[in-house]
Amino acid sequence: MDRRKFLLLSAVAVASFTVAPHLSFGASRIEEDIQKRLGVSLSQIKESPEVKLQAPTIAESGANVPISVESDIPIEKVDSLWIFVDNNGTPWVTTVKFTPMNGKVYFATRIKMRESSNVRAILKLKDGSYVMATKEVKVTAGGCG
Amino acid sequence: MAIGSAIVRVPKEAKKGEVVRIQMVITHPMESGGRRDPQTGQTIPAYHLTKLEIFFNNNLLTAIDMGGGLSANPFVGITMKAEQSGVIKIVYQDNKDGKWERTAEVNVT
Amino acid sequence: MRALIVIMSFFSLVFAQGWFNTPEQGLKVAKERGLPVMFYFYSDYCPYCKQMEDFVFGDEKVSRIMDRFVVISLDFLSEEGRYWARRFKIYGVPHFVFYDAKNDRVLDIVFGSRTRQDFAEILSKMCQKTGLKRC
Repeated sequence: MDRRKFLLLSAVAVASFTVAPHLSFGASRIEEDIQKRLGVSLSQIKESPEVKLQAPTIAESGANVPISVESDIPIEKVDSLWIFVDNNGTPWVTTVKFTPMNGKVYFATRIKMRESSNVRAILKLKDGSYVMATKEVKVTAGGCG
Repeated sequence: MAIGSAIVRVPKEAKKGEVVRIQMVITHPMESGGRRDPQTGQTIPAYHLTKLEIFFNNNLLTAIDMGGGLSANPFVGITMKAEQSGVIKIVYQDNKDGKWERTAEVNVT
Repeated sequence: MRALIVIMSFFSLVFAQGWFNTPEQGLKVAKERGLPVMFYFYSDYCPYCKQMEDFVFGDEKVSRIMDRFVVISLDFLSEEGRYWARRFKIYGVPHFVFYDAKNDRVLDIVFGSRTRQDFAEILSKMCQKTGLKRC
């Protein structure tokens, strides 16, 4: 191998060593946050029609987006509800720990959204599994008169 | 309204076995820590509720962890299966020294 | 003792560099230092202003470009705010008026919230329009 080729190859090797640690091989902020807080990867959580997430398709302002989550899964089987907004600086929004006294799975609140994004409602069941509902919410430009 | 004040709405009367809605609104700026103050341009430090616990007759009904992702003056709605009359108590705190309690009564027939 | 408290509370209102509440002062500084100007009309009651302040002004990329400007922020409901709103024919909030301080003319007026990306582009474009070295 001539000297030029050797130097070029070494440079590429050094570059890939320095760049590689910063590449999480495609893990987005939402994937990282879910992995961190739930201990499972987003790809392991399945969408389920049993989780009903209500959120506006078009939100007036990202400062105040009303959402509600309901499910017919018996409350005794449910541990907690986790809300995430994919495109927020911190995707995690809130965690609700239910008790059987709640009677049913229901939670309503108002969340902040930085921009148009997926909103996710993830139910952690007592058997350790997860089910989820995802809704895409568009945050539009607006003003006050 | 003062920071930490809250309105708790429960039906005054409920039938035994009925699942009722409990709603609350707490006065709090819920600053995430990234907002720039329009007057000064300075970044406003994080100042938000961190925990909200709801009790019924001193038994834990629901525990909620939260941060700056909830809107200012947070609204929370949950349900409760009414089995007996008693007192709903909400206990909440923020990331500084704020800690508050509010109660409301439910009459179950 | 009371005088001390008054003085201390005055200085507790620390301003970010280049951020003004009085147009006369802001425009003077902009003219002297060759800086582009952005008026920001806002109100506490408007969630779109909160949206901008939290997610757009707070964004790293937007902040960097915005910090090149003299920002003159005016509460739409204040006396000063209402006076300048009338001058620029401002009807709501959030409203942004891009101003050429050197030649005393309005460059552009933008109404309503924007995404971080859009606002960064608007700021860049407005900065370049002034032809100032700063931009």
